[in-house]
Amino acid sequence: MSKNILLFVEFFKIALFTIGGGLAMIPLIEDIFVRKHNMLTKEDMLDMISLTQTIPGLIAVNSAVFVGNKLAGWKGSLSAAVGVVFPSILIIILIAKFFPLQDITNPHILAAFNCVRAAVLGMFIVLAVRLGKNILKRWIDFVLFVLLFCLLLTGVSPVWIVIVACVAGGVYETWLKRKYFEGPKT
Amino acid sequence: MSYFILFLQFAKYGLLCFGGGYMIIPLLFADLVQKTAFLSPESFGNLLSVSQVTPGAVSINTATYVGFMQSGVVGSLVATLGLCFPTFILSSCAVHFLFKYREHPLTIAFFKGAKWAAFLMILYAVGVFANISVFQEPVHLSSLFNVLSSGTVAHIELKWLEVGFLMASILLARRISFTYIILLSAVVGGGISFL
Repeated sequence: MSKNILLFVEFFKIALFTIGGGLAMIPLIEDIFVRKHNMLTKEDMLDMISLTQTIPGLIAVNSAVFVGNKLAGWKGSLSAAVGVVFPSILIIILIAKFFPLQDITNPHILAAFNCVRAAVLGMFIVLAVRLGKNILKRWIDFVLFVLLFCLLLTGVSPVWIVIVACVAGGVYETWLKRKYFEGPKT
Repeated sequence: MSYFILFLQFAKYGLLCFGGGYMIIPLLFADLVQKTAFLSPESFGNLLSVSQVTPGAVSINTATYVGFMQSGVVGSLVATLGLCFPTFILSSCAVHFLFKYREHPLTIAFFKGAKWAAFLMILYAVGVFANISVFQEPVHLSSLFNVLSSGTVAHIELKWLEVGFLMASILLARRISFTYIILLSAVVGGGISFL
């Protein structure tokens, strides 16, 4: 089996068996490509995770591109990315065609949906705390955080929040903080 | 809506969702619910729940669904392609260049800035999700700003069953995979409604 077909099939299966998004795919990717096929190393996985956390965009597609590129160049990236997207498109088009959103009136399904949303909110809080611990380490970090949080409260479009936070955070961490609050690097 | 505009709209989301596809949620909420009122908050919530409980990446599911609602099967393909396109290009470039220039100050600045962007977006997503799951009446972040400046206390009513699921998922998040938490909450939540 050529590597491209293997990538397509494996990522198709990975997408088909994960519920809840790209983050849940990472352990599966590690399982399949590191343990089952022995094609990638643990270090590759760490590189992949740091890539998915910094490049804006979908974790699923990011990791598919990374693995595909490692194994078979850009063609590999393409077949892995198509594989990871394919199940979603098939399933959602079927759902959207036969069960339009406006027609969901069954109270039990709506109740189940509500509980899923609450569970996802819980996951977001866990993720936010994890990221917060990673970012907010010294008192001075909280100053920038409060400033950015005020921007959030003004109800400005999230597009601006992303841009301002990325630029401000990058400039602050790389230049300001090092220069004024941590002293020169020795 | 023309396919090109749909493509550009989702390419914008793909370019801006720092920290993973989940961060498309605040962006979509701002555009589809607040700006254009294409969806009510309830249908938006249902849309997200459908995307959560079906296999695959949540943002791709959402994009496919929204594309389908706007212009059928072709629309869903265009929206998904638009969402994935910037990610594909950016990460293809990144695997070639980013690791080579890992020590460059601009790369480091971008890594750090991306973390801040992801952090702020996840807080925004928490706000959006709290409104469509645990609060009875929507509490907008901007109204919270008014509350802070005027000094009055906001009146917030909670849906207690959902708060229970929220707590359970926070407690379980360390121990079991998120796939199971979502499936469990769908099954248990649906089951409780029969009582």
